[in-house]
Amino acid sequence: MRINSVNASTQRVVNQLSALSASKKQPKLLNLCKEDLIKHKTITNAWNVYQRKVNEKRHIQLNAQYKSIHEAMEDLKQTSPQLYALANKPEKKKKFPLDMRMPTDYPPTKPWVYNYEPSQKRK
Amino acid sequence: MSLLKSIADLTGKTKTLSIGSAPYFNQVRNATKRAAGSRTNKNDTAGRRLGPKVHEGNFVKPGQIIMRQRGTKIHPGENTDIGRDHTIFAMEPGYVRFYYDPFHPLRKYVGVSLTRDLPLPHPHFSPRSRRFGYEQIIEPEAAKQEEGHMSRKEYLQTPELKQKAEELEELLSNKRTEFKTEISNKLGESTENLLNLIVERMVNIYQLSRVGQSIEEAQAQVTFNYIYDLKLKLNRGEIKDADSFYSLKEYYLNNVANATNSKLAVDSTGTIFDYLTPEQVQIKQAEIIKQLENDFTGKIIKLEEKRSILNLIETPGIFTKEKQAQLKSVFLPRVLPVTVPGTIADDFDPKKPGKGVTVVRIFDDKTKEVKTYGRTQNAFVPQE
Amino acid sequence: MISSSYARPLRYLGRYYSTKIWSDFSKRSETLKLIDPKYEKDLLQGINPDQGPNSLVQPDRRLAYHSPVAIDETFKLAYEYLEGESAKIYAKIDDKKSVEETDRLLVKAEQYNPEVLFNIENSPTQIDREQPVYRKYLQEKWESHDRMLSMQRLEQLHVIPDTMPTLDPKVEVKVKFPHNTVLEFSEWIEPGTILPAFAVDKPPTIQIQEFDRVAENSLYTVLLVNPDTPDLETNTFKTTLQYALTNVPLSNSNNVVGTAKLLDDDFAKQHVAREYEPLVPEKNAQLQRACLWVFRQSSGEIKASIGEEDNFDIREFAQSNSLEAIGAHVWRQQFDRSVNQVRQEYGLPNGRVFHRVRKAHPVIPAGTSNVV
Repeated sequence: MRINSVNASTQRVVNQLSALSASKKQPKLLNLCKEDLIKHKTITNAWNVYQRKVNEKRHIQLNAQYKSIHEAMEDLKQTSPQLYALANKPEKKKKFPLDMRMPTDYPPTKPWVYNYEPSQKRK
Repeated sequence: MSLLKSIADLTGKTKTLSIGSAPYFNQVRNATKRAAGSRTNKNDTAGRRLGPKVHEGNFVKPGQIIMRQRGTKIHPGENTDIGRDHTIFAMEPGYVRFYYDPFHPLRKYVGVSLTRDLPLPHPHFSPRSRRFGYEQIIEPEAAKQEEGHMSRKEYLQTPELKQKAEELEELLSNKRTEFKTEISNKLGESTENLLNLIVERMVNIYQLSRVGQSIEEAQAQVTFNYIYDLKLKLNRGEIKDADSFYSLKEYYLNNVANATNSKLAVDSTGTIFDYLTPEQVQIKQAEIIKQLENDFTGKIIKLEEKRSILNLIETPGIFTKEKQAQLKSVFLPRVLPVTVPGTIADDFDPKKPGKGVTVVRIFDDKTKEVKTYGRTQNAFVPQE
Repeated sequence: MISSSYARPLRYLGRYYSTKIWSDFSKRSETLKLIDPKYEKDLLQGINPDQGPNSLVQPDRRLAYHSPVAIDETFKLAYEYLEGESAKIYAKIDDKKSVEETDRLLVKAEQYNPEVLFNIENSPTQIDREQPVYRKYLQEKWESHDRMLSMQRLEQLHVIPDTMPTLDPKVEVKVKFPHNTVLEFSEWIEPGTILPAFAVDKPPTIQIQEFDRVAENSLYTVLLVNPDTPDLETNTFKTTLQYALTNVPLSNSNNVVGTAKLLDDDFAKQHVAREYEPLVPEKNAQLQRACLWVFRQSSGEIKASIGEEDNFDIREFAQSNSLEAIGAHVWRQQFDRSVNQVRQEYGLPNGRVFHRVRKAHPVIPAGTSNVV
């Protein structure tokens, strides 16, 4: 006995779609009148301009962050070469635990998990 | 067979000879070289006589072979071409040059330079040197015959072209007579010569407006054409001197062009009407559209109304052809909308509509349902 | 309905203030307004669903038309945001900026204005070419097709390098012969078209569209040459000058040399350096190219007149008058049944007739005796 998970009419639509070629299943091109086409373009333009500004802002911020890190390290180099060397010491096989938190754009609500323990599998 | 063997290998049923099982191994080498010659060993052909057939600086005629080769040891350069078996031959008469081309540094080229002192390749940005190569026919009789010679295509097209020219000439001569009476009615008394000039001018304007020029453009173009033809006549010596040229020009400008520009105009259908400035045309357009909206929108259109609508839309010189078509589609639809009173039958049975009632099913966009209407004869605009 | 995933960016867009710069025409040109006022309501306020959009002509198609969901509200937000951005750019423009910098900023400020976009789309022939933003869109359109096509024709028909060595096109050159009464020949001519003699028997109308701002008092030269005139003495070709216009003042909007200008006697006297003479190819002399070159005059007015020499050297002329080639056009002609008529009109002798078959006579170098 055949078990159908969908009802008969849905199954018929599925069968019909499977017989259609891929090009027939493409969404239709925007068929707009001139006025609406310009409106559509304007909306797209506004969204692009907005996104560009957002990206520029983020870029500037990241640059500033990098610059301040760089300056802090330079400062450290001048004031205490020992601490600088310690800070730059290569730590082999010690990586940031990847399962602790996904890297995101914004800080988490709980910035640092002090009593972090790796998951059972990694042990 | 090999498939079977490999299957057998997989199943492990065949016995394999392992070297480890034999205690020692004697190698024997037999003679593999055939002592006597074989049937296939003496197929030596004669030389194909390949190589260059002419040398640097030699004169060649078109079609003369310059190089025979297998593959392209040498590539065809300027004024040469390559055959099916890579034979290079001359396309033009001239002097053979073997050279390198800076655009393909790994290739050797052979070309034909048209004169003895011309090096190849020719500098990239300098004009090409080309040979004309056609000989003039001196004998007048033969020249005339050759000039009259037609290609097959031209020969086949001639009757059709001739017929079209005749049709056009007939149309224009009809227009000329038509315009002549109309213009003489509109402008009153004038000399025969002047009238003919004006008629010719209007016919020319009519022809230009048929290809989509505005009336002002057409007027300027026709004036220009006339003066230009006068100038050519002066150059040919058909007009005596510059003075008479200027007097003829002034006469045309004052009495024909400027005198009629602000009075007469003609549209692309060949109807003569009083000239209207673009501003006046705009006012008139607005007037006509207003009249159409007030008098004929939302009302039943009979044959009489249809004619007056057509007359309004086709008022000469007001609307362009495209605008006329648009107005017709708006004010003269085939079927009037259901909102027009008197076009819907009140009581009717959809199964058995009475005589003169047509059942129409229309999808209502707002209520999302199909409505059935009975349309009376009045709903349909009469077709002539 | 806008789904919730779209709601956030729209809310963000809505925060931007609007200063209504695009409806203020005290400082901006009136030509940035919508040219056809009947579309104004549909574009800026929204389409009335009972009447349908104005751009659709057929009444039933109009009524059957549906705008996308929430397009008007979204458009309003987008418009206000872009208008605000435009106002910020306008605030940067002052007298200290150079002309190029000002033009760049003007393009930036107006390039997303929906009225400008609609004008370009709907009435491209009526736009004001003095406005840098319109020129920018015209240039984009030209570069996307017409420039490539004309360069292809110029190269494949060897106008380059048979006349001038090369060309970096800066202007769009369009040519038409408006005296023609047949639609086929009265429109703008596609480069490389083969035209009959009767279609070219009056001087052409030439449109030279500059896309950068044209400096005041900049002058142009237009030369029409035929590099395929048979030269039987050497069995090669020579170049003849068919038409020359010099010292022609042009601007971004006043860019057509045509009937209206040629009718003016003063213009003809000052600028027509060589009267127009159409190409009249002889029987069996094959296709001939009419090559029209447009030059910018980089060192002011040309004073010297053009000589009547037999073989016109266009390269030498361009160099000696320091002309910069900025555009070109080409059409082709061959012998047809109207050639004799045109020859008669221009008072030219009957054309020679050549053998149908090309002979193998070699080129005779100039200066040697005429022995075949």
